[in-house]
Amino acid sequence: MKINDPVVLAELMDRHAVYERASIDNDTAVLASLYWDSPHALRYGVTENSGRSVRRLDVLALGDSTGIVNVEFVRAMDGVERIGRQTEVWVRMEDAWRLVSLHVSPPPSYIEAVSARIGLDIDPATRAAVNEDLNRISAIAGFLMEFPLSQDVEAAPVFQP
Amino acid sequence: MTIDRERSGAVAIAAAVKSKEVSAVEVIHAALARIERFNPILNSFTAVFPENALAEATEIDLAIARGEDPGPLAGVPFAVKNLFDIRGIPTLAGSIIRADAPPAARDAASVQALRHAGAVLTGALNMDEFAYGFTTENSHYGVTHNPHDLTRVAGGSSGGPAAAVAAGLVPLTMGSDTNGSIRVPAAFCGIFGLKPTYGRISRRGAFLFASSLDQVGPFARSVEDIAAAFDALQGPDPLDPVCTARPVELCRPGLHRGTSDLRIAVAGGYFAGQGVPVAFEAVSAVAAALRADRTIEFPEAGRARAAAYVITASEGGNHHLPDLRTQAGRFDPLTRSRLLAGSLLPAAWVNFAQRFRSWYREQVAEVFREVDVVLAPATPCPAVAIGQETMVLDGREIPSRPNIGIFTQPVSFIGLPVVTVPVHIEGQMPMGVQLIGAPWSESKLLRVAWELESRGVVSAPIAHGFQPRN
Repeated sequence: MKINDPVVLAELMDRHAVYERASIDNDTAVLASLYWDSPHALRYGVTENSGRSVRRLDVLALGDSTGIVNVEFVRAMDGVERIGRQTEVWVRMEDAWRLVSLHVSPPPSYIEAVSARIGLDIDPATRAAVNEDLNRISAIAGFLMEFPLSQDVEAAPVFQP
Repeated sequence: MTIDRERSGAVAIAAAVKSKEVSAVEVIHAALARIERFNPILNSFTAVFPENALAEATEIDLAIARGEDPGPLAGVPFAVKNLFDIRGIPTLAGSIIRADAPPAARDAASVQALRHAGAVLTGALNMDEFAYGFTTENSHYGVTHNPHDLTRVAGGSSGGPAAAVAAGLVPLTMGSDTNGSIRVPAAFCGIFGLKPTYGRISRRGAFLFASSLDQVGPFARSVEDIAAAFDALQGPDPLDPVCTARPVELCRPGLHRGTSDLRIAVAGGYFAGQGVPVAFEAVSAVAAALRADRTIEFPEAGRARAAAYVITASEGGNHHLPDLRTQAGRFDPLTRSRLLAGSLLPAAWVNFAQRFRSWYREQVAEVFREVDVVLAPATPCPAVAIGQETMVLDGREIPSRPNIGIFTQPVSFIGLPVVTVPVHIEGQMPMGVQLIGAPWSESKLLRVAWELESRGVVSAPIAHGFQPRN
């Protein structure tokens, strides 16, 4: 089996680019034409792709009819850049490449990540307000953290005024 | 009878009750009548206990008839912010979540102490939910109106206690102060408020907000009443982990000693900006009366405020995490998202803020080697309108609710004692001035407050629309 045949690689790069464009534009017709029309086709964690930038792209061609595209991307959430990952499995079927499996792990926001860690399920309707408050505290904390506090300074376990 | 049952302060009432000039029952009847008449306008009380209060008053009258002394506050009607435990009822702390809580098994330490001194509990008072606010705009129990202008807030979070005293419903109330929750409403309502040194008064049975900062204290319309209440409230309590073991320092006996031995300065820098002119006019009036011509600065006061903000958000969020997990929808919309956000703060911020607190304490201790009392505005502006979202300070439009406490937060952050004194400038809403002292110096602050009061520089008359009918 030939690995990374340049012609096959170019085809996979092209299919990936078409998929990316369609998913950013949310062009459902194009997306539908790319997916394998089968109950075995898999789509994990698909979200809209706007506002993300690709940090790393790896394409692997196995023979002339199987390809795997891995993408690592960065997206700003709550004002902080976070890393997400995507895997596309392509198979050539009856002269057309089809996406048989797609797995996107979008970057969790800080609020999602920390609230999950402490067992706190925040109602999606409240998240925007929580984010706004967190941003306000963050700005205030940022001002505090700029202070050049010596490493010698200890907190008082029971504060004695 | 010469005692004015409706207008008199706590000390005058106790003297009249003890001399049998008036009975405690008569005093309590008068207070209950004023509450019934005016509370529908103010919404300061969330619960009134007429039967219990009259029964307690009867006991006091009986004790006096037997020749016993019921205490320095005999027959004085008082009420407490509804975060203090009152035996037999759930402690709301301004929430509906806690309306389902089991009834308190015993009174809070403050309620016990005031009752022990002969005062009579008449009711519980409104507040921002869980004390997280400066306006007492409570979505569950309604807003408390400012007795000096009903379209404005009473301040918060102890808005009910301040409004009840300013309108003369009762002469004495208890509130709590984490970042300004006694000093802000005292200023907005034009009355005296004492935030004692952190750890001075037991907080046992008071529903906490941010334990690193929480303190409880009294509101009244005279300095002597504040001192009498403070003296009754002092004392060690092993059941409050931060309550001091220092000996009680009675303040009322020394109130009249004058202030000539005290070095008094005005807070400059951070405390001289970000306010409307009347805030600084009030400070100038007090400074002029005290001949305080010196200016000092608390280094990094702005960052102290930031650190207090971080600690409060984090401790408040953590305190309420169990309810945020299971019934977030039942929190007041004005507190919910802030508590949720606070529950998620990085430890790096909170630890830094606590360490910064040690540093700042040392810096401010240096200042208090040079002076005894520091004057600063209590709030950057007079009472804001009910529902007001923003205000303009230094030409910048900023959210009003989180910025009302900019002058109080850097002070309570290190547990300093503060007496807020009311300045009434003709044609204006009242303003408050903070008399700030070194830790444990309440007696000095109360002497200064008494001096100002006796010279008419500060005063707390019953608000105009609530004068007793004669």
